[in-house]
Amino acid sequence: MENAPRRPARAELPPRAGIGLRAPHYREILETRPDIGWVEVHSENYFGRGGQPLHYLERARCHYPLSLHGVGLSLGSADGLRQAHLVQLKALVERFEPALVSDHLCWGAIGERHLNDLLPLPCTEATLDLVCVNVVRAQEFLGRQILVENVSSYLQFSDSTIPEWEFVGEVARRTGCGLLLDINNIYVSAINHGFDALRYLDAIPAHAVREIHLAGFDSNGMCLIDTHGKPVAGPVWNLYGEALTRLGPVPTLIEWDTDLPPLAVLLQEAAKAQEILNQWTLETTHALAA
Amino acid sequence: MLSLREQQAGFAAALFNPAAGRSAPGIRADGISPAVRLGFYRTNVFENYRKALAATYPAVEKLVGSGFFAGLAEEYIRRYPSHSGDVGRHGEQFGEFLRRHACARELPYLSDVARLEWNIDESFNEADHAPLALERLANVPEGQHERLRFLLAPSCRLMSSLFPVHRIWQMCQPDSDGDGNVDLGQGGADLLVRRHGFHVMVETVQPSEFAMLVALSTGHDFAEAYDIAHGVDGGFDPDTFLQKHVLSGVLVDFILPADAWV
Repeated sequence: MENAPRRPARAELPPRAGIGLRAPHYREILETRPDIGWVEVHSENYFGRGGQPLHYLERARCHYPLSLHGVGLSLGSADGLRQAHLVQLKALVERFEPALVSDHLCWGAIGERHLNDLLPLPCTEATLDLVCVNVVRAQEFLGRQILVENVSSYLQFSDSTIPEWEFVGEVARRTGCGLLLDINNIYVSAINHGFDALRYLDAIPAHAVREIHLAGFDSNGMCLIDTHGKPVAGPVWNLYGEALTRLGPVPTLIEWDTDLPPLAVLLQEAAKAQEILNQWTLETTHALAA
Repeated sequence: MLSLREQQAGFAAALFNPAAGRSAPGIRADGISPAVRLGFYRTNVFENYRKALAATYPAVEKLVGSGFFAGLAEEYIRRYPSHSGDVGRHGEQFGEFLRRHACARELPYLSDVARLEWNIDESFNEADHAPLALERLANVPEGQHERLRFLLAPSCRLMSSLFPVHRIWQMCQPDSDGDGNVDLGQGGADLLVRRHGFHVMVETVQPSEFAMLVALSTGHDFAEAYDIAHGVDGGFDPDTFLQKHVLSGVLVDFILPADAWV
């Protein structure tokens, strides 16, 4: 705590594979210091005032670049951002100086009520205006760029007029925010709603993408559900390869939240992503050399 | 066309009131009815909250079994909206909910077990604080100790119960070596929950000691707090109290009026 080793100043995430830092793995990660590019945590899990979570995050931050990933900012709430939440997030950002700060393109609160989930938005001009206002406010309040992540969805709204892939790109264009492209979410939504995942990738402004997420999904028999409780599926790995040919090497996170496996399993998944990142890097090097 | 605000309010209402047959407006069917699609979200939302409650209240879950706990959680989720973007805060009223619940007739101690677990959860995430430097105490001018207003470590929580709630909680811990029986007739308990390092401890304290800690934590100076503790137990020893709770890191700071230093 007081005598923790000095940690490096804020730095870019390297274009390598990273993993989510979860409480059951704290000790093992700090003792074994696996060769991963960076770590990510859910911001809200560190909203406490002290104790073990912040202590371990402080220590992890000394050894790895950090990405702070939120689930509670509710950028799509019709009644705007929650000031109390922003204040807590800002304190965390100032304390840890993360490389990136992100949240989702969704809503999760209305009036006094939080729903604590990533709920879908109708893709309309009115929603686009609202989301952009909220993203700009969040960036102004935090004094830095945030990344916005596309979510999985299990329904669509009848008043939607803009394809999601255009909506996502437009938010980045209008606000200057970065994009956190979740490849699994694109795949899940593409299957659920029957659109072409490659068309989605083609529409994304490559320069805005600063982080990628990979995760596992489940099926309830009618719909694919984004559960983060399984290895990354084969088709999602394929889509990841397609994404990299469009985007170049981008810092890539293996997300695993439910039924958390041993650290070794998580590291194997990260190594798989790293291998794909390496291939891409080699290919470009060769292409440039030729 | 509905405004986004109306749409989101309708979505939230339908999510928590499926029995009323409400379906959120404006959802496309696309081969699956809007009510079923909404149900996918309902399942996820309720599962998130249930898992968060189970993470905070493992002893309550162990006492009632996971099936009954899931039912309690569902009722709680419907009746107690979350007011924070941090799902871990949603369970704050769970003890109060259990106190009013019909199951309290058979399990009157359950709500106190929940209150204890909430205190443990809060203590776990509270701010760290350095212990009180003994020389500061030694430098207090003669005769002024009575006017000290002590501060408890941020991670301290005080609670009392009519039941031996610490024994019940202990019995539910994974490392418990008890026989699974607690004599409810052994009476209540005054508890101090506090964190030592990263470890949250649950300690029983004497009624007079508890009264003293409560008095100090609510802003009484040492003399006033002593009067209260002495009223509980005429044999209460303030010196022993002070030594114990300064050394153990419960009393971490104090203030003294400026005129006391001259």
